[in-house]
Amino acid sequence: MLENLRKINLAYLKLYQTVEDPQMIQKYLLIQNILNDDACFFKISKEQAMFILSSLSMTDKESMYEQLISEKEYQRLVEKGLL
Amino acid sequence: MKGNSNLLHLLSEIGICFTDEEYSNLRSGEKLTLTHKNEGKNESVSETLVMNLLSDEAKYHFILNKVNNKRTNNDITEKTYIKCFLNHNGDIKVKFERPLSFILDALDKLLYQQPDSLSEDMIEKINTIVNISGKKNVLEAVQNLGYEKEIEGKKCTFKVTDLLDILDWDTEKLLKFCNDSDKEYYLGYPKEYVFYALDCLLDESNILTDYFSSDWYERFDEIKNMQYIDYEVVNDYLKTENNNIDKFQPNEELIKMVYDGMPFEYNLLEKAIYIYFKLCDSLTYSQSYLASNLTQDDNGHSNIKRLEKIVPDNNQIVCWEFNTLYAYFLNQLGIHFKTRTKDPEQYGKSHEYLVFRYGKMKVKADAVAGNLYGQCDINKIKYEENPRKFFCLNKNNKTKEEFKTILENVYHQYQKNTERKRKSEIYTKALKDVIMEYQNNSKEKRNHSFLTKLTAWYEFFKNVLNCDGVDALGALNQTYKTIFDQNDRDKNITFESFIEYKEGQKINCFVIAIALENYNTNQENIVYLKYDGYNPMIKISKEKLQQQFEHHELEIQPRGYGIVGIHDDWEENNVGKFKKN
Repeated sequence: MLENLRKINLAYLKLYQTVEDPQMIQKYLLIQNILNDDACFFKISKEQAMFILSSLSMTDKESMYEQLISEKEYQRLVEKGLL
Repeated sequence: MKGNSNLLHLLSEIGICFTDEEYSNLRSGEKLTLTHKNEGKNESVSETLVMNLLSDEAKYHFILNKVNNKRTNNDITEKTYIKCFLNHNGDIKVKFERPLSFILDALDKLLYQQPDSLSEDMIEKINTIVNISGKKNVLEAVQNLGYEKEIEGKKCTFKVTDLLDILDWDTEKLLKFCNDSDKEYYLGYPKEYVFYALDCLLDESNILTDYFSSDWYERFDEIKNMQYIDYEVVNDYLKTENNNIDKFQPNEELIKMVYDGMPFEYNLLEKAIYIYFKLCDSLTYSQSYLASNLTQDDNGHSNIKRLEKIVPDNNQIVCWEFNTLYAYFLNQLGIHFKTRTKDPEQYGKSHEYLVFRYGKMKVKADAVAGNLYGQCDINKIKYEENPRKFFCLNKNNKTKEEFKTILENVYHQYQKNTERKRKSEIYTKALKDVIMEYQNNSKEKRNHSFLTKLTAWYEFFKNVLNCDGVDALGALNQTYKTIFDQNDRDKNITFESFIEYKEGQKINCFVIAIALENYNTNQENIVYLKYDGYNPMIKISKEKLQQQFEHHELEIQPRGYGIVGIHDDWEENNVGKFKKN
């Protein structure tokens, strides 16, 4: 799921680079930096997470957020030593 | 009663009289479909009428007399009509009239299609009429007649039989004659004069209509429609028809610009083509007139004196202004033309174009016709595309090809002279790739991502496009349709034309909405761009755009649509709109 969000973010970044909007480029570069961390959603607030999902035009943000911070995902990241 | 019988006798001299019963049968019976000679239209004649003529001695003799009279009078110029009356209880009324040619054609059809339905007596009657009115008899009737016609200012005289002889040639002989460029003359005149004279003779006479001559009719149809010999401009365009060319004097700067770089050795047609390209390239359609939906003439386009101020830096025009300027230059070259418009007496009221003649060629020039957003020649020439509305009207394919070659040669030379780079050289690599792929592959095979296409498209407007105003808006419209496929247009990108008020002037501008998700279902992160054809395409925030609409700096076009994410009724208004693109 996170990989998919990274791809969408990259598309937005490219779109704003195309239309030359420096403010938005900064915004999506920032999101890109956050998403580079596999465990990012465990390190940011819910408001910040919602802002990112909204910026990436996700429709069902609440349920997506639930999945991103689920117990299963937490265990997976702990096992990998990322949390 | 006696008075009535006298009247009937009198009527029998001038027409055919039917009883109530006969008349009712005519209306209800089968019809024989006839091809109306000269105009190719289909007409019908009641089969009952023809059968009635053959079975009723009085009516048959009336027709026979008509045919005989024509034969003895050598009458080939007057068209003959048969009047039909109805005798309803002694009250006699004229009901209809039919050309004699219809009756003869119907007799011919009946004999050919339904010989079994005819008695021996009827067949004999038809044959009698055929013998009197057949081709051989026509030739005998006209053997000593001459036909005189003024052609291209010269009096020409032909023997009618010499002209009719051409109608007996088969296609092979006709083609050989027409294609033989060594023989320019026939019967002592240029070949096209002879064909023109034949056309006029047949048009002015009743040879094809009042006689049995269906093979002649077919041959003439071929000559007229195929135009193996281009005679369609003969005797036409002998003078210029335009009321306005003397009412203004173009600006010297414009004149200089038009002639600049024109090769000295060009013939008149090549010069006319070159000037057309020059005017298309340097003039542009009026933004404000377009923004007013072609209704408000705030800039005085209907004042002919405005043309005197048109220079490369003040180059906004409308159709009649382009046409009048082009007409001026054609007149200077000595080329004859006709301006086509609804009301030639009124300048600046309706669409105008012109047709000019060069030798055997008839050329239409209509630079400002069609969709002003990229489809007319005034746009196309700037995009380095071939003109669409500058073409040869002749029916002869060989002549059309000849014209096309000349046009292409001048265009090639023109591009070279104006030091333009070919489109293929100036496109960015990305756009070139996208366009090439779209031209070569089917929809399924296209694999450039939406973002790649968008980048290429944006680059084109930023770095490549070499025109402005309506032409630039047209380029956006055209490239949009070329680059983005239906799927992109249905979900990711759409645009709409709006009216923008700038410094007291109305102009057209486009607002483009871009969404990486489907814009129909998710309007959260739509990116808006604005483009007016003069300033660079800019990104504009949704809030700023909304503000401009609220402050009436931007307005929806009359009968126009809103844009996704801004106008609530957008979806409702746009149902099916983009499906059509």
